[in-house]
Amino acid sequence: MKKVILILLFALISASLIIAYSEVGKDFTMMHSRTGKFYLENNRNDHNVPNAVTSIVTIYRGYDTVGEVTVLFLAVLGVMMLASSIGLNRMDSSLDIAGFVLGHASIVLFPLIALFGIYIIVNGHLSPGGGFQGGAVIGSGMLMMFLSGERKELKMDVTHLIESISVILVLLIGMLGIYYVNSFMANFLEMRGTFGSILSGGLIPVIYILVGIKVTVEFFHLAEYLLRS
Amino acid sequence: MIEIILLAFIFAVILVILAYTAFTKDLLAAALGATMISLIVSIIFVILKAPDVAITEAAIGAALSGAIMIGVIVKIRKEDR
Repeated sequence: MKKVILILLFALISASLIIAYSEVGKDFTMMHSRTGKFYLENNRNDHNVPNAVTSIVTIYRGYDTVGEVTVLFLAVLGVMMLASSIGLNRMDSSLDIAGFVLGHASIVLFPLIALFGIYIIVNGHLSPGGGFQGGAVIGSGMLMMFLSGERKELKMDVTHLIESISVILVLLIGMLGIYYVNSFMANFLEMRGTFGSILSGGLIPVIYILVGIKVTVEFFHLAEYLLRS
Repeated sequence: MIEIILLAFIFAVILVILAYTAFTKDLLAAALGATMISLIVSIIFVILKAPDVAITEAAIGAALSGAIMIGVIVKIRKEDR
């Protein structure tokens, strides 16, 4: 009975969403919020990047990015504690029955997935994407290697070190912003580059690439501790 | 106008998949249903002109979360037998 009520509630909410979209979606250029107007108008002069979402995430709301990185780190920490406490790593290797197709296809597919993920991370300020999205793509590729049983052993000390160093560098860039321009995570590098090339936007690619490296290594730890065989 | 028809059709598809996922007794079918719903919601985000959110939802909600759920269900099932 409760499930029927919830499904009817979902139908109601989706109908109201469609009605609201038919009102607002007629003209996307009329913005009713002054904050959105401010970001879109000043983005071109300040940072010289086409993607406004990236400049909002890294520069204008950089403090929220630091909070999100902390939440991701705490989630993976919780998974590590849970996995070691209930003894998931004591099971026998039960995930090695992947079969012929998955075993050989994953070896061919993983370099392509990794290349695509690196492309999304590096072109974060030019097209939709960025550090979080590219890191999630590479992380799911690593998960595919786990599920097919074809992974090699990686040294866990080195991966933990890479994750910690990238977080420390992101925080250091934020502190340098306070030291030079008196605001946290500001774009204090004066060279901007040409509009639309990879080397443009000051500190935006640097911050987003470090966040992308951190998210990639973090998803690898998540898969390793949860599904270790 | 065409976007509203597309949105209504996609919401009807989600409703059908949601009804099946909520009322089935099989764990693996429920995990697959949740993954499918995440994938279709990412298409809705593209129609609403938010490509960053669409990439994030497809990569995390469908690929990572769904694969982890299916992997853990397979492990637990082997322990039962």
